[in-house]
Amino acid sequence: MNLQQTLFIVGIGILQLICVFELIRRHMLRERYALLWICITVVFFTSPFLFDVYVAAGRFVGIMAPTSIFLLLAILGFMLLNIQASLATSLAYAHLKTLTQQLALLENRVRVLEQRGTVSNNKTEL
Amino acid sequence: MRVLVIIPAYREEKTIAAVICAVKAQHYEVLVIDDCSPDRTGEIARQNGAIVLRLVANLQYGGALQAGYLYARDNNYGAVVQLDADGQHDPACIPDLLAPILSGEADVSMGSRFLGGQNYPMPMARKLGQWLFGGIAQWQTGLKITDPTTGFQALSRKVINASCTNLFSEDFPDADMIITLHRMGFRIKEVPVRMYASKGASMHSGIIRPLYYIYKMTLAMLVARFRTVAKEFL
Repeated sequence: MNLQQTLFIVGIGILQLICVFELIRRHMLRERYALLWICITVVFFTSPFLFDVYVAAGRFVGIMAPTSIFLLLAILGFMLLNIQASLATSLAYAHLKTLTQQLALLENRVRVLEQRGTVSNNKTEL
Repeated sequence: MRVLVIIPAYREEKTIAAVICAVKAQHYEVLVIDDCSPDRTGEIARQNGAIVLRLVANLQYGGALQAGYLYARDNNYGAVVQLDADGQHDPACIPDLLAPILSGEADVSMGSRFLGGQNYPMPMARKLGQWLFGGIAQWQTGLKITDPTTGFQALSRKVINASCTNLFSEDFPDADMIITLHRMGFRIKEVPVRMYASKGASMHSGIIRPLYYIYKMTLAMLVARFRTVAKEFL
């Protein structure tokens, strides 16, 4: 890679790192979900300097063109991010379902207790 | 001042009874936060006289602990002591831990297993982690922290209120919280306590969890330096 390409890619990596850091700082992104983004940033930073290593690894699995190798890395990276997001969403749904059910049951118990309290008060008045 | 001892617990049916009895022997109120344990942890805790908050979903250590803080805040407790359910923390040290809080000397009293000359057995990897996190905490706060990952702590009412916000970590609220609380203006003091090696599987056992812990704690401690902190809780 030439200097222009190197600076551009490293610049994108720095911007991404700043974005991730800022999101964590503002409590908008948890550290556990930032791990993959940080790994992707590491790939960004290292790609200009380890270009030949990535190309050799790609050729080892039968991918000849360097652009295809990096496209595959990008696809794999986003695939992992999507899997992580899907898992988090599934877990969040399970929690939401449990909370909703428990809330409904608690509301019912409160209603029953309130009714019992009303009946007791009426009996006392009589 | 009313003091509440909070014990977050997950799958600790074998040890929870002994811990509760040891705490109640010192006449403290005990709250166990059952973090959706699949075993009888909550039931056994209730049988042994603890107040039990049963979480309907597993929120992990930080979430369970925060549930305890919310309970303490809503029920007007003046101070909270937190300890582990696995018998690692010696409840006999609770008065020593509380002393700086009750005297007004500190807002956070951290129990250190390394002060006082106790020889606590620890794997090399964990020792390195302690050294790393203690070093970062010292660099960020200027305080000498010998046990940055201790879960044996006493907190004042003001710290409880501050910890009931979203700045509290959901998974491992350890050394990063020291930095955050220090930046918020709270006074932190370390006190020597006795700790025993965990009898069961700790949250740091295995390979993946310790590696994740190192990553998460390092990142959280670095970010904590730059977070906007509110001083309204002082």
